[in-house]
Amino acid sequence: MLAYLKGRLDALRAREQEPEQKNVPLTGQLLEDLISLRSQYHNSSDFLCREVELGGVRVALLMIEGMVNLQTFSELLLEPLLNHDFGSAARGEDIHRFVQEQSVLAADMVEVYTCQEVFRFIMSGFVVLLIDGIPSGTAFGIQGFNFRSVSEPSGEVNERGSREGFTEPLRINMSMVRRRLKSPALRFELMNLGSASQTDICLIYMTDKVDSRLLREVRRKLRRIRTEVVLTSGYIQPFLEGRPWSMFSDVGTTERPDTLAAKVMEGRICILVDGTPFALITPYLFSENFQSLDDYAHRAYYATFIRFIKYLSFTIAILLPALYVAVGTFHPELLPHALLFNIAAAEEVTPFPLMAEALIIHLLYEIMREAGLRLPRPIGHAVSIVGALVIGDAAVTAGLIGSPMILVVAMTAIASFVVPSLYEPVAVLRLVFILAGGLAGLYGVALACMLVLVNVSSLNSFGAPYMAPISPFSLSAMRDTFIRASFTRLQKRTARLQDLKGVDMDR
Amino acid sequence: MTKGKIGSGQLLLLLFASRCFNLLDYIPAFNQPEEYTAVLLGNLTGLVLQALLLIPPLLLYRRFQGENLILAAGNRWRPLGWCFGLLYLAAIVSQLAGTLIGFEYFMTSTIYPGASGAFFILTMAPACFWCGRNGLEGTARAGAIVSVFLLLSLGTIFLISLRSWDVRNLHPLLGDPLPAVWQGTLQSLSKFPELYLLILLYPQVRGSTVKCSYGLIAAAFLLFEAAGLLLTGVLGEYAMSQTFPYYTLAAVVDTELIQRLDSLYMLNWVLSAFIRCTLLVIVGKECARDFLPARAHPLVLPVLLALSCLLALLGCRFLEQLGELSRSSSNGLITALFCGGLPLLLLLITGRRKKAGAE
Repeated sequence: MLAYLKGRLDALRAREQEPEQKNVPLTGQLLEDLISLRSQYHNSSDFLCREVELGGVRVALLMIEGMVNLQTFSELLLEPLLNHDFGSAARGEDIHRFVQEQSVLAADMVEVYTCQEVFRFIMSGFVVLLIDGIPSGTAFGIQGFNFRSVSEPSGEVNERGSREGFTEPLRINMSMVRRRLKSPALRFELMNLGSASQTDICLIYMTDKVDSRLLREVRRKLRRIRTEVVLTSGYIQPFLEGRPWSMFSDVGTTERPDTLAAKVMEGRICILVDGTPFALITPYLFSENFQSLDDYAHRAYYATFIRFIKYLSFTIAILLPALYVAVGTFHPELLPHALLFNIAAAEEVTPFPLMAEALIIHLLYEIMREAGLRLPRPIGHAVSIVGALVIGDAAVTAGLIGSPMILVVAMTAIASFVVPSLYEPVAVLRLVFILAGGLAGLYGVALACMLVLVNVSSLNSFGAPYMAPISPFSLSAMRDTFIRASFTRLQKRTARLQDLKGVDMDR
Repeated sequence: MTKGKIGSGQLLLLLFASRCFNLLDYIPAFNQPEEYTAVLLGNLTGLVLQALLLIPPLLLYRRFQGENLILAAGNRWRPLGWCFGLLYLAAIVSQLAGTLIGFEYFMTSTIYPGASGAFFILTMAPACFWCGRNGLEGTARAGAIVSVFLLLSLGTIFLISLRSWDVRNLHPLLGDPLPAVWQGTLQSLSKFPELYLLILLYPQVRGSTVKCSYGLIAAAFLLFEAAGLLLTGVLGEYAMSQTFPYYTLAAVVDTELIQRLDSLYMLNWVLSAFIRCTLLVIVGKECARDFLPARAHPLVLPVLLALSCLLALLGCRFLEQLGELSRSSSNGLITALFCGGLPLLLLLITGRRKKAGAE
């Protein structure tokens, strides 16, 4: 009850904080409309207004500097308008009719009726034509702003797949998806989020695959977002997650149009956000973190082997340091004697207990990783060298850290990059497990494992259990979970999310 | 719809994982080595008894579809619902405390000698309550994964120990085996709270409750029969002197990779104790909610946590007496009462009231 009231109160507060939307209709009096628009735009210097006279009628072309392709503007809009003979005593209606019916000035033409609409379009790179005597304007889509070209996504590199990754402008990303799925069932649904940023977002789904209840629920959650700005897809991700406080996210991301196409074919909904190359995928399952497009490019046996490596790496990345600390501190009798002697000899000279060593070295590693990531690339490399050679080697030589610990940390660090989408929970859980192992040995590790397992198993993403198809177990889905069956088997039936055991979209 | 429900297979695996907790301190004999074989035979008669005991709750569930035992009793006659609720809740809390005490005793006596028992109780109990708060679905999904792990690790210990199995340790049935068979029968029922947890969870199951019920007793029978044969064949009379014979089995096994398999045994113990405690918390919470007023519901979990921790901490001071009590054959009768007796009573009461109403 309290949570409900708090939620209502937050929503009301968010609504109060929204800036007042000035939805002033266009009057048809050009001068009056321009004064109104300028005053609402606070005379910002990037607002351009070009006024010309056509057949004795005043018209104005409104745009934002730097967002319009000037060559296209000149060739497709200005020249046809200026070169057309409207006579000496034309009326506003004549020019409006010419624009609407007798010319093809731009592929994307929209009629606007309010100042708010004018702003929304010119801020998206449109040019709006206002004609004296006509109480509406015409928006032409001739965007021409600079953007990063289509390139290979840095976070999802693959060997044999496409080299195309999403870029920042939404329309280009939409076209990349459309090129891969030339089906009339593929639907793009545009929405607008962020009271100040007015960011375009696009829902992508297959009308014949998606569950209507899922679609309704995603739309409802998106409409309930009350935020001023949406600058990346990360701004809306928490609103779609079932349990925002869980370490594991049931909303996935991808930079690849081909991955997105595969997901929508399985009945998922993907969300593209203008200005960010990361698309959101919902619902998203735990096992999908271990799949990549390359799995389907390689032969089945090799793809299966790679899957096994990924699951193993995930386990190593989370548990290896904790097990090393737990066994070394509480259960040395479990190790074979030769290995135990080696470890004991290395640890004898170090001043810290194993748990402290593991925590220190892991925190140092995270610091170096973060520094290497944010710094310019050449300096980043230098940081890596300093970290690896100077700190690592010097710490062992100085007797501060045992060399087996360095080996464990190095293995863990490499293993954690095998499944990059799970790096965030892995990095934090690793420290939690080290603490559990250092304080209570294998008992602590087992207890922590159970807590994480129950937490992860409790996640439901729009009615789809996050751990499906592992638990609840779906035998048919196993052909593309732990193993990757050959396409002769996979082609028999496209896996749909709704077909998995335990999925109930009514929840 | 199927909101919040779990599959019958999931429930079966969850209860199986919980049942494994008793396997880990299972001794298939009481007084004489000659009784081993009779006790193993007693398991079989125990299976038949369990199958009979499950008939009344299954009939009751068919009659009151969608209602568990306590709700069904309370909806017919409110004081009866209170009585049933309190009885089951008391059984669940005592089982929870007993599980915590058993777990604490194992950890402090074998794995961490000298460690404080309170540490294990006060870490395990809150963790289980936190998971119990997440509900049955998450626990059932986790339980299914754990049960697979348990099967694999128990199987590993089983297969590796098989090398030392000696048929001479199995004694023939001599004299009058009936008392020992009866002991075995009761032993198969004692410390089997999963039987009444199962019947309280019927309304949460999607799918066949009959298959789930009989699947559980069959799986438990196979598990204990196999474990009994293994322990008898490998350890012989030595098993009788051990508090945790399965642990002894794991500790004496030598493998190339890991020095000893007792770490695997300890992991099994922690996992199955965790699953059992969490399951008891979930069912206890539901039980209390079925007969307590709505305003008391937020207090159910904290009170249950405090009560079970307190009982477990107190129980640690009377380990000897509790140990004797837990080995008593009357435990089996208590399980029989909660699994078959009370449902049969309700069946009779509701049947009579229905008949009186019709007249």
